[in-house]
Amino acid sequence: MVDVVLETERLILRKPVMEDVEEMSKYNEREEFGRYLPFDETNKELTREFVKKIVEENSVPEILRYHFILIEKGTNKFLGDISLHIKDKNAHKANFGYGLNPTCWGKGYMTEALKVLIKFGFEELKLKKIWADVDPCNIGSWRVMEKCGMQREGLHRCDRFIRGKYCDSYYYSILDTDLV
Amino acid sequence: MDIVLETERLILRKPVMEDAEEMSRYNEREDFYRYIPIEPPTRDSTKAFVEKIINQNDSQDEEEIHFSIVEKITGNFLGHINIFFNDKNLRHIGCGYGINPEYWGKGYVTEALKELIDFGFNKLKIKRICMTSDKRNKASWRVMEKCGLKYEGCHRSEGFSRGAYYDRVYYSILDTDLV
Repeated sequence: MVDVVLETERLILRKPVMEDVEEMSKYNEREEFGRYLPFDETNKELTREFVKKIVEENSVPEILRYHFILIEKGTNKFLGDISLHIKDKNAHKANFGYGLNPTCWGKGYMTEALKVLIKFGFEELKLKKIWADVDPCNIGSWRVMEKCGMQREGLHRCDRFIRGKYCDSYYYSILDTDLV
Repeated sequence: MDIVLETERLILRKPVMEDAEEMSRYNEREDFYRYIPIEPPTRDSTKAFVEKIINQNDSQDEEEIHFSIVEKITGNFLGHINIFFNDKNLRHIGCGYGINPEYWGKGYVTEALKELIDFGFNKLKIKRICMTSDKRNKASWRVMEKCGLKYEGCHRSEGFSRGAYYDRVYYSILDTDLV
């Protein structure tokens, strides 16, 4: 596979490795981390499975899911992860997901990471559209998207079911033509 | 599954192979398929389509239910309407339809769709019905609105058909919208 490393002012985005399980486990069982994520539970074993999956998906010959780990330059601190999923290759569309250690929230790290991921998607992968859906209550998350120039395109009612409840979602996107 | 639905002017019955003949009379018309993201229909593709929907109707999983729309008084074949599960666990379905342009503007699709929505909520115990359409297809928006669906948004460059990107509008109706 191509070993893609992305870089921003404060961050390095590198490929995941199995050792990342330890770091990720330090925060992803926290309630505030999982509050808006569609998982019933998180534990060390599930984190290991998750990391194993993303390491494998990153290693196939034709990658449809690009996964990156966010590392703070200088301190080498593990901050979180972000990934880009090519959903429809012919239509050049992809969506993304991310997670950040709650102790690092509010510092603009994810905005920085998403901006470089979007740039990578349009410039290197020649995508047409990058989108995501997000829980409307997860204000921190959709504000990241807005700061990256994404537009809210809809509010879909009861289109997800998380831990026993129907939830709405906002749908955000950015097109290659939105960038000038 | 052998379901027949009835409205004031229409019968919604299961499709049969003979419907391909009727469908071919209009579905190769440009105004019919303009906003449908498929290659322009031919006699063969129409036959294949009818064969496919008959099989889907007969299949045990009941992921898709198709109806032919027939005018009561005349027995004329007007078109096709269907529902499909987007997610069975979540009780989410979508709907699609196509009607002979000769019969446009008479409220037939609205009548058929209303009946289907009623069927979805009352018989299938659906939570959410989601419909989407090419943004330029204003007539389709109106049908959805007349059936009580609510506008949820417009996804830019969401569709890709015959070499071009186009925007799609999204509408939905929830079980709780009905009172």
